[in-house]
Amino acid sequence: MPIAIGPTERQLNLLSTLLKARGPISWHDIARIDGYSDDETSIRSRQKRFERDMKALENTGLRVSRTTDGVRPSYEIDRGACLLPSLPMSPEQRLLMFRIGMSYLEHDDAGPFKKHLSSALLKLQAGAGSAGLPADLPRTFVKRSLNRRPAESNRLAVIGEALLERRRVTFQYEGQRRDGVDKRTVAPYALVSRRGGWYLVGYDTARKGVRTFRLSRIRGTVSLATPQMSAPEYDVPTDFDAEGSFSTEVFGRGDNAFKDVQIAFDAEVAFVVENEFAGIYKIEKRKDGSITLHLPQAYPGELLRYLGEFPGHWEVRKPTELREMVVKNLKAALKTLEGRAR
Amino acid sequence: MSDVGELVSLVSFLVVNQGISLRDAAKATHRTPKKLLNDLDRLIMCGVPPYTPSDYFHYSLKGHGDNARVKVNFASHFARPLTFTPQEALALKYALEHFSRGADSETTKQIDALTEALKEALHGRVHELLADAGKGFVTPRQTDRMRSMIGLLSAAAEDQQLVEIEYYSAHRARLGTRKIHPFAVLEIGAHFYLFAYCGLAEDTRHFRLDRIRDARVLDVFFDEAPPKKRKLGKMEALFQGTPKDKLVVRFSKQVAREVIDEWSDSPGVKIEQLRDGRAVIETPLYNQFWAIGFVMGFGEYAELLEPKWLRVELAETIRRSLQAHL
Repeated sequence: MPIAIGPTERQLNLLSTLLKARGPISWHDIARIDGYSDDETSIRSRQKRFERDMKALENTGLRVSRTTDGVRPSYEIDRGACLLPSLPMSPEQRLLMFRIGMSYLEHDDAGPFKKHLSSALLKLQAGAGSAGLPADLPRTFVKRSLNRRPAESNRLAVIGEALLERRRVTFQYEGQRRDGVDKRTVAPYALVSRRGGWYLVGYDTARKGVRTFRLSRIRGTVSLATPQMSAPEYDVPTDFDAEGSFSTEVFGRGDNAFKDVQIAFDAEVAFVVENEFAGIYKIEKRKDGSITLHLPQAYPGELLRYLGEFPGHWEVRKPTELREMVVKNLKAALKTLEGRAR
Repeated sequence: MSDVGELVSLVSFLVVNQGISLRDAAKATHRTPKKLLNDLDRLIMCGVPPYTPSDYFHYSLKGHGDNARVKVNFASHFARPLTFTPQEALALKYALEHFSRGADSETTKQIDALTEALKEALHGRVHELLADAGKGFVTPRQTDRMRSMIGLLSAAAEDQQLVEIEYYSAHRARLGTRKIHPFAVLEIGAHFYLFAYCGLAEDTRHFRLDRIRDARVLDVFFDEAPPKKRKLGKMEALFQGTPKDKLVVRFSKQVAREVIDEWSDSPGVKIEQLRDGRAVIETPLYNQFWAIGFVMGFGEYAELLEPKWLRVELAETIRRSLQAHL
């Protein structure tokens, strides 16, 4: 009795035969491959099995040309389209790529990159010449992660992977006006991170336009809109610019944001602000080591969250309305604290 | 990637890296040594007609345990891996772009050269995606100073060199100098941290890179490995240890939803949504300076309820902030 082999091993046998052949092969050749050679099964069933396997291989990106002599079809793998060309990478570049990959993959926080980056790196290392990696691989000293907040990580992983696979996602969303939750189906174009967390920018199929969604306002889980499909469902328009579509201004931008904001920081924390914003926003330095940070725009809520990191070390200089609002806020908070002992 | 694609890539990798140790092969192919051996055992069933012994894939291990060297035979038809899928090409592109945003100038140049080389070598849909697809994951670009700091401290961690840092501790609310043994540079949440042993604290710490005013690599080397027990790089690691107290904060309805959005699913946090729209959050208190900043960030929309001693400290801090505006 022949040993039954699984579909993966059968497809590997088929692929090996196609790759080893130097020309087209016919059903006569295929019928000798383990997995299609069991005489107890009818030819029709074995041919159907072969067609299913061929389709599965083509779904992985393989291109197989079919020709016929008028009676019998033959099959030949398109090596140019199927195999990774020789990649001209130096040993240093291979090592750099290894380090970059491991910085995302060598921990349990790989998020949306986990599946496809891992397989891409494996191919890249296999395809980049015969020198190979060094005999002893270096430890990983850098960890990179896309995760911003624990509560977002599952949503980020699902949407990020859908973005790589160009698949639509669906979820329940509560908008900024908090006037209820509704179901959205979105083709992800990009994920943009700001101080407030991750935002999805994508094409909302019901509203027929590009919209922005804050991940923390998604209620429940995110799922693929058509989980039974596996092929890409859309293309991101070539003229789409993620940074142009959604403000990456650190403290937000819009009609309700304060304009031309100036915040002074004392010498003790000035360098922390410089570390984050030098070269991005104008910073005025004074002889005593203090600085003034100039922001083109800022929403008070987002700005105050940041200033909260430096209690007692800052002063809002401009605009006057923002300064007055902050002073009023501080006074109100102090009054609450002093007025009511709990 | 399908099972077939993954196994073909594995064989291609081993053909190119003949004699690699089982441990390194497993690490580089992102699986455990046990899983690697399982996959190799699946492959020995595969071959091509006429199925003479040399038509079957074969592997051998020379040596013992994870140090054994792996050699593969009769797999020359898999010497080249299958080409990238569009998803793999995008994952590479997006990862390289994201890594660049926090890399020093030398690494950025190398990444640019690498990206160009890949674009040049690849063709078809994969080339189009590498060349033309827009950005997929957009994170704020780090300043040049931060990128240099990331490069400097990563190199010190790799070379196992002591570093003297001038650090602004939110915990102590002042600048201080410490000698540290750097183990790794980590991106956690929206910040970069240095995970290191601190001589001052006599324990490991996560130092936020933007709070390092100056870092000087010393000509002194260390050889101890980072402690394994730590959950290196987990976000919770920044909020661990023995809680000082219990922090209870009430938020008005204007910000309650936002706070719930941010804090739901966080470990050790209890959230109570009140009927009038307000919300109360209860969490272990590890760091009072962080807590003061957090509550002040919400202005009049947050009231610190407990602990009482922290209410006194918060009031004092608010008075200081008000003083600066008078």
